[in-house]
Amino acid sequence: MSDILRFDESLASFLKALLPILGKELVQTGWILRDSSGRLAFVAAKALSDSVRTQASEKIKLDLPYYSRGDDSILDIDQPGIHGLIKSAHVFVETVYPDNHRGDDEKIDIQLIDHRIVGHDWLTQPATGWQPPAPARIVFASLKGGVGRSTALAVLATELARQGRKVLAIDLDLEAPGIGTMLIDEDKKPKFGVLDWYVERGVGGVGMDDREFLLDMIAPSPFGRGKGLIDVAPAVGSASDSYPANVLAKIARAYLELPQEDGQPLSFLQQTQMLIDQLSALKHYDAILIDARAGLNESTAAALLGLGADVLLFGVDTPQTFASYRYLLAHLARFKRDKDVDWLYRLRMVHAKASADEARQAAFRDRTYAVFSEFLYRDRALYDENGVPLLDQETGNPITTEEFGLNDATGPHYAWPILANSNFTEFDPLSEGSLLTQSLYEQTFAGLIGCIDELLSVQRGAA
Amino acid sequence: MSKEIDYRKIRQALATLAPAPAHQADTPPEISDIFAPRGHEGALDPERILVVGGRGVGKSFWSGALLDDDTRAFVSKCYPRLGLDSCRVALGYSGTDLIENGPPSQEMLDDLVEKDGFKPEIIWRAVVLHCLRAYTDTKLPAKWRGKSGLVAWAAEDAERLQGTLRAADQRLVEHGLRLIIVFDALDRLGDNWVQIRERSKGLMRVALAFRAYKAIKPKIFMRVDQAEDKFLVNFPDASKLIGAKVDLTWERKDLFGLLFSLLANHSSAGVPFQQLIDACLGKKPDTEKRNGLPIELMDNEQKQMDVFTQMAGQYMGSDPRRGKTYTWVHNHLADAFGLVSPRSFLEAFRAAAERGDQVVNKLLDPKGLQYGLQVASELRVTQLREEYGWIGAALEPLADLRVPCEERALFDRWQEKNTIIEIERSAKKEGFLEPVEFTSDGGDLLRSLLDAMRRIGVAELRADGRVNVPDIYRVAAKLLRMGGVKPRR
Repeated sequence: MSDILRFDESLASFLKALLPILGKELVQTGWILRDSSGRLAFVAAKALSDSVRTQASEKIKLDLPYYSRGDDSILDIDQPGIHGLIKSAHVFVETVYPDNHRGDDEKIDIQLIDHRIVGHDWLTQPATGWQPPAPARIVFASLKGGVGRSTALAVLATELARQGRKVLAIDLDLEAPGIGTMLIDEDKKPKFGVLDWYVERGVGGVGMDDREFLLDMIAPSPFGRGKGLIDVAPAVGSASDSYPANVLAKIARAYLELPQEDGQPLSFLQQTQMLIDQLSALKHYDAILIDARAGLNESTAAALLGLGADVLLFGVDTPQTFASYRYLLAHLARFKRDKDVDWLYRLRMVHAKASADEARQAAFRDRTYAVFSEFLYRDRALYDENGVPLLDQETGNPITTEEFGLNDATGPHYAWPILANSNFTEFDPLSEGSLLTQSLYEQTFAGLIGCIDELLSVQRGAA
Repeated sequence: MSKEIDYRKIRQALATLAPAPAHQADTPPEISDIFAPRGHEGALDPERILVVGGRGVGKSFWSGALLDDDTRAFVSKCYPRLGLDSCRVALGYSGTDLIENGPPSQEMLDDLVEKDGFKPEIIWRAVVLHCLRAYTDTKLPAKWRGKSGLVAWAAEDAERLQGTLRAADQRLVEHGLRLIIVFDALDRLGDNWVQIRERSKGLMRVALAFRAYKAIKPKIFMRVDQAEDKFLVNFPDASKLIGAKVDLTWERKDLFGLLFSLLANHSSAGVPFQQLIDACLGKKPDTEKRNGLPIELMDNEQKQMDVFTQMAGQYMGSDPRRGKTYTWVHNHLADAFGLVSPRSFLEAFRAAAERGDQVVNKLLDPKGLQYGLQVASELRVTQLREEYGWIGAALEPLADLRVPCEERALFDRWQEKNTIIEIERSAKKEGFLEPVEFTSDGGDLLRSLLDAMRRIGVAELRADGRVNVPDIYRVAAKLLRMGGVKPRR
């Protein structure tokens, strides 16, 4: 017996086993279900005869000892419960090469349902983006910690306040609180943190649009400096400081789905959407800045996909960065793209701790370009004046152009640089207020500030 | 080109700039007097509760501008993002005498606290309720005082009060309105700091509580020394107000913008001044204007400098090391926070223009500017005295001080002249408040006086612990020594 079949080959082998028995059409009109453990099953779009069902099921059990669902591997839509399962599922179109040869004629597009218990939120189609007059939403994300995400958020908030704007900074990093402690003194924290909101909602102690509770979640930062306003919603509030041991207990409960009386339980992503919407509505903010949790965990999904925000993806110039962003972007490639209001345009790489050397910054962009173009950039067709696609005379194939070129600054791969500056490591502006003065931060963060200004000028113009 | 510009006319206009009188919250300014720098947007924002400002920056000016429907409509256009056109404004306090349907006077507060025994918080809630009369059907008592008065009504039944307030809030929301309730002149809440503190604290607590309402928006204008009074802000959640405060200040470019807009809108000087601007910036027919001024003269310091150079020459002398005229005036007028009040600024130029008849091809010359500084210094102290009666007594002994210096140098001079006793005595006799710092614990009153001066920007502490007194105040001290600062107008 050759190597045991593992996760990565399971889907291809599953199809290789099924196609001869069920035929291409039946397979393509049906659904492949990957269950919460990773085991595979097939759901046919029409009723199957018992003999076909048995034959397919036996073959699957033989070829995929660990990745089949045994006798439940072959199902059809008429079976009880199956129809509902299909209807409520996220369905993705996946291209599979059953023979593991990547030739064009060897591939098949199937409908895949990936059923997860944990990590479900990653399957949500990105939400519609914010539009003026609503306040701008910007998420600060990274795959690894320690790249300066929270510092950048603090600097941006301070700069916007210096311009007279009103900013709400929300810390969604429930497990490693950041901006809350950076921007407000310990003794001036609000009573409740974001963590408390999830927990109290979970037991029904906080109603919809509970203004009093929400007001107890925010406190102003002194870095508003009497001009603009920086309201901060930290992850953990002062109430937790009296019961520090409870923080872990609360974290254990914050990520749960919220059962609803009627309808589906609310996922963490959906709850997060509500939280952000409600906090944003407290005042007429100009910008909502959100500190997401580092890494590829579930709560990051909420921040990246669920909030319709501009997402700043921070990374330093190390091989780790590009390797891990491959994983993220490959997943994002599954989502549908909309021509007009495209979630792709709301992604932006940020080159953290960048060298001031332009050549090094360009090299970073080369690497980010490689990842984005591999998974996300599509070629665009060219049209003549009548809207007819142009075709190559010889091959008859459509003539295409790249969606974004290497040096196209509008492309999300074109990283905005934040320069390395030892003054900003171990960042504690509350004890060293001079760190958050314009003259010190403006050079280091020029790449970020200038571009965000442009982003917000859209909003200013609309006002 | 310069020959064509009628400098004389512009100079005349400048020399006769009537300084705006100190405003009261209950009287609106003239629309033509309203200059709206971008930096003041926060102060007028219905969502910003606390606005802190020094003497003469415009706290009462803006209070008055918000209250009057016509001026508010004008201001709303200047700051369109604030949604002031869907706001109504009522006056919660302005330290003035009792008028019909108006806020309580200080005497009324005294009576309510001392005779009727009400706590400040419930009085302020009643004040808010009073401002909501138009938005509630509930029948409310007409008078403030007594068992059947409005405050008693509020105190009697907390649930009823809350219900009435919520219903009024709801009605405002339904009409798409917000009600801003302005509180100004808090230093006139009482006769002494203890009273003022208690009543201010009550107001701040109530303002914080009202955040729970959607359409009722308190707005408190507060003096700098009050905002920093440790004993005022030592209640829980005070930081929520203080941390979110707006500092009402004038940046240098705002001040020049004000000066230019006054000239640009002047009946006789407007035309020649516009010619001057065109000579500097180039004639552009379609420039966007704000307050009668091309918008780049509001925001762009380089352009402002170009215009001012045309007016007064570039340098304060033939040697560029003497400093640029554009920056010199502001630097020397600035207090320890680097801030200049609009009145000081305009007065400096007014006096310079008055003296400047022999200046040709320009409006002003360095000599005139130096004279202007002197006059503005005098005025500044007079102005400060209106709010801080002790300032003259504190400054005069410092006339010969060389700065920066050790604290000891100030303390010695004050001890020599018995300044502390002098201040305490005059405070009682003339009825002004002694520095708020005098009421802190720890009896070193000399240090408290220095702290008071630092609080209002008349002195600053350098990194090495030495004290500096800005130019404008040292000039004033000398003038005081020479024969007292004459009260103007």
